[in-house]
Amino acid sequence: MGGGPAETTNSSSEFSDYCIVSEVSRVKLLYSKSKVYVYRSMHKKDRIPGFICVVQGPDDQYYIAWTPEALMSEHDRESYVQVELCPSFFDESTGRRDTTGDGAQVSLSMLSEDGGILVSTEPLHQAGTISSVSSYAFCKPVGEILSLLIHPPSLTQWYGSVIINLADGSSLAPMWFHDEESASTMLGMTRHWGGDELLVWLAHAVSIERSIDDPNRYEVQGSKSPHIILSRSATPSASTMLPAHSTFSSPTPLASPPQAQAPKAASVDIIDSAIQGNMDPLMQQVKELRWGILERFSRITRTVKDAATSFIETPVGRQVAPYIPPALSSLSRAQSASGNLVKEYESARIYLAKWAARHIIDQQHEDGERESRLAAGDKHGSQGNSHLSIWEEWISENGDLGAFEVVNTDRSARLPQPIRTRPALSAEQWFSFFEPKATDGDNSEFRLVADSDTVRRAIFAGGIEEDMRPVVWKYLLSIYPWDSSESERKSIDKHNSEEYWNLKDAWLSDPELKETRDHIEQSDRIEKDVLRTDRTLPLFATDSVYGGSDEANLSEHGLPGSNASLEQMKDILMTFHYYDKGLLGYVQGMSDLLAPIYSVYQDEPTTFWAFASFMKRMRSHFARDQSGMQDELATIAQLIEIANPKLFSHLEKCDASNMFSCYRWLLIWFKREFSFENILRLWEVLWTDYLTDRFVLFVALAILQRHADVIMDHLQSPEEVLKYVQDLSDTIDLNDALKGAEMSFYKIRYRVHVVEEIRKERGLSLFVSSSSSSDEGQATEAASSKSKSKSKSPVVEKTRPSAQGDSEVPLITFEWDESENNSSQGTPAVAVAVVGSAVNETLSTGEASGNDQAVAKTSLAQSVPALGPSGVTSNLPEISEAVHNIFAHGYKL
Amino acid sequence: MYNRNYSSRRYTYIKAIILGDSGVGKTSLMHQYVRNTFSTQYKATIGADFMKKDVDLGDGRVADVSCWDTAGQERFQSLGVAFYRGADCCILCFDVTNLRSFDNLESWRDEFLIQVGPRDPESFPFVVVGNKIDMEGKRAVSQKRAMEWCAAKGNIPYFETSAKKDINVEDAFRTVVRNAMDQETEADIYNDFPDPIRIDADDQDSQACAC
Repeated sequence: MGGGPAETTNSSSEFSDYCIVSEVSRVKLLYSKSKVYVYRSMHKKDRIPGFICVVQGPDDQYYIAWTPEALMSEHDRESYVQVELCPSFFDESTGRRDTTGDGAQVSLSMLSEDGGILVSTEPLHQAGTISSVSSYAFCKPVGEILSLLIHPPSLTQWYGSVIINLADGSSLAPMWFHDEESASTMLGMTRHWGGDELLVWLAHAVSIERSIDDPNRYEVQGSKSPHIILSRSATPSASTMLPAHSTFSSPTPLASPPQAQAPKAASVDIIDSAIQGNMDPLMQQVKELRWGILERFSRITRTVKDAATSFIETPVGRQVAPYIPPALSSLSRAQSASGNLVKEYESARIYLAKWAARHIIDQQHEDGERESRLAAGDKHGSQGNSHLSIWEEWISENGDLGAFEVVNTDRSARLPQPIRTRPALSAEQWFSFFEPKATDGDNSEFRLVADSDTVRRAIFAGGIEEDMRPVVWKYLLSIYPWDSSESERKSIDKHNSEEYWNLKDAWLSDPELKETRDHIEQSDRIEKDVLRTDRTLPLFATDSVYGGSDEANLSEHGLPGSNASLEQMKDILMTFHYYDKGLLGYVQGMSDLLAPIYSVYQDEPTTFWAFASFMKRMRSHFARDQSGMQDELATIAQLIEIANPKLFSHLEKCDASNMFSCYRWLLIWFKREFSFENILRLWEVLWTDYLTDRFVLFVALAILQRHADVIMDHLQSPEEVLKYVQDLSDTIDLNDALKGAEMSFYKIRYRVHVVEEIRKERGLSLFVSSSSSSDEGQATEAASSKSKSKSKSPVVEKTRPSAQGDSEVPLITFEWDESENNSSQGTPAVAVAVVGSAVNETLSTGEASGNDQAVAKTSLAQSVPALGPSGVTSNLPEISEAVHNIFAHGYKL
Repeated sequence: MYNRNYSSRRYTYIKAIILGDSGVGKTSLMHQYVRNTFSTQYKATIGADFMKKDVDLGDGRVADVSCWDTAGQERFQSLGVAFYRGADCCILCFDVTNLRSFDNLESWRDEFLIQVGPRDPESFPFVVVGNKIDMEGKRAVSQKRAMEWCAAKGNIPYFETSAKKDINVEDAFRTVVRNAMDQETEADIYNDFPDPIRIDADDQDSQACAC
């Protein structure tokens, strides 16, 4: 423990005094570095971030100062960052500050006449006053420094540190340079950790020499008057900023005062070499790698293409951390792997991951904006390929597909264009689906005439306008049959209402029942959960009738207050508990599922029936043995394996392939991850079951795909994956996720189909049955009952453009052409056909030319050596029954 | 003059699981402990979540603690296995105003031991936390009763806490972390780096049971 520094951190009297006397409140800020921390203790919360800076006072003296962020005004902080970002602010030839350079967008009020940036002295002033935080702040004339102890980042200490020893024998608290958090590093503007730069800056003001005894110590030489030893390069404003008496400095290079020049030049050399030499070469490499990653991430913002090509393919993007552990053993200083070191890397890794994730989030929005611009421009024109282009990268994600190499034809295969994003279903459009009201009004049945596929497709593509939700949801939730007449619907409503009140009355008016342990427990549980559900919405905010103040309620019952809506929700859930009792009853999480429905109806009976219908499909998630969730998680795992084998194997390596990280996402359908408004949109899309009734899994997959690179590059344990995934909450762009989900669906469907075709060709079972032992005969039989398995030639066919021209969706149909079977090549016919169709995109009749087949055979042989003439391969991917079933319903579009 | 002063610090990773009935305040306890905050806006925990905290025990040992907060409905216990795995200690929580939550401690503890399967269940580091003592008027479980139960289960340390008023929360966690550290032996890692300057004597070593 260093003894001295603690007591001596807060004497800043000189500067303060000076400022008061001269009544000048602003000083010139010459150098600044953000995120320089003083640690009050080992606790993270006791680490105080601040700025280290070099300022020039009105007396032309140079000062070194450290100011906690917390003490700075927003305005000041901006200028500190400005200076940090423009460290090479000085034009050496003119000795003037270049205020026109990049990043020099400083507001006029902050500029002095000669272009220097002025900051208020207030934070500097406060040094050594008030709070415990400010007691660490200091501002010292540079000349008072006796020496500096500088420890660059090393393998045992990720952050570099600087300790200033003063001429009076005291020391200032160590300053830790969290360089990766600092603005200049974030923007990729510097390769320095900060302490080195600071040293060079100080060397401008005073002469500094490296100690012979202690290589980490730099001793300040000579006079306390900085003017005498200011060299040319250190006198930014030599001719303009400094008053006339400072004629020691010269604006021309190499013309500095002789008495200062010699030691100065020497010392700078010493310092430069010292800094270079001081950083462990390995550390240098690690840091360099880190910069490499940061730079690469910054490219992500530019284009998706960059991300796909340069980032994915370069090994630099892999990981910094793996370089560390083996290197550690060779370190003589560290005897064994240091727990702290590992931990520092862990936090650095998560930090980097989140930093990178921000770019993904930006990218989502960028894509969204581009898309809406395109959509706007396309309104009356063709909605052609430009629309798709954004998503091409998504589809054509290249690279090592591992076992799925065999189906790596997606890029050239014509996958359908996504049908997202259309405008939300409007009242006008909705009623156009109905038969016209008869003019006499008497015998009108007002049935839906459009088939349910059309309606569901429209909702899948764009959702529903808010005011149409109450009625359309009743169809989606099977309260109204699709072909019901108006009178039937009325009678359904009436019956449902009566039924609900009966159900509710049954428990409400049964005093004995209410005394049972089950009732008391459930009602407690429901109350606790309801009072914790979406309380930030005005609809669910504590009101005066049922609530009062939360504070009073909390001390009274330990729960926040209630309101009228929540009281209704409680009754609905209690009624549901009895309605569903034999099966499930109330389970935690259901209140989350109820709230969005309630918000749309705000009426007990309707909400109840809509909820009960929703619960039919969600029931398995809440099964006592958790089998439903296990199945969901296993299925999402396999979908990842098919869509992105690299990601999957990384998750396996992390011990995270059980996908528990997605548990919350799936259990309550992303309720906690999106805004309330977006949940309404997401759920109505999911309720359409348009592509599959398990579309929620594809949404999860799409989000993971967006973040696949970050996950693979930065996350190494199940905890890290869980944290990262759960922290994505509120950062996900819904439309991006839905569109990605749709694309993933098409892509995986294609891959699964190809694999199943090959398996069929080889007489293998189509999928791995969930009961594990694969009875081939049975499986094939099961499969053939589900699909027409006559032969195997997938054929790409273009659909006719629809009348409106807005639904030019190419279909993949699979026609069964016996003649293909006669192909006498050794290669399985199906594989040829697949690649053939991929190579020849315009193939429309199923007749591949001989040429195409030849090409196909070559490419197939190259990409899949395992698929030899024997047709026997060990690495053909296995498809689980669950995944098989998702796509077993044929190719609906 | 600042001296570089090297000292050995032991750095240990500790996984702590917070268990107990729904609504007893598990999430609040965790937030109070890790972040020193309390909110009336917590939501029922779905699945599991965790937060990390460095704990300096003041005797040269530092723990990197991850606190796992789990869903309180027993329905989700079968899922718990995945999250319990590798647990070093366990905080059993009940609500002093809710007798049932106290009665259920037994099954929370048993279930936990079955799933984690520690070598020596009798000495596994548990701590029992009776939360919500700020609602004294509503108390349904007496201190005596809780302490008797703890004594019968192999002298589990017992703390009465208020996550809301920040009473005893730090002590309860610190105790169970310390006990977990005491069980960690050979796996310790010695680290060699300079102590930071410490101005605040922040290792006020509050000893166990405040009751």
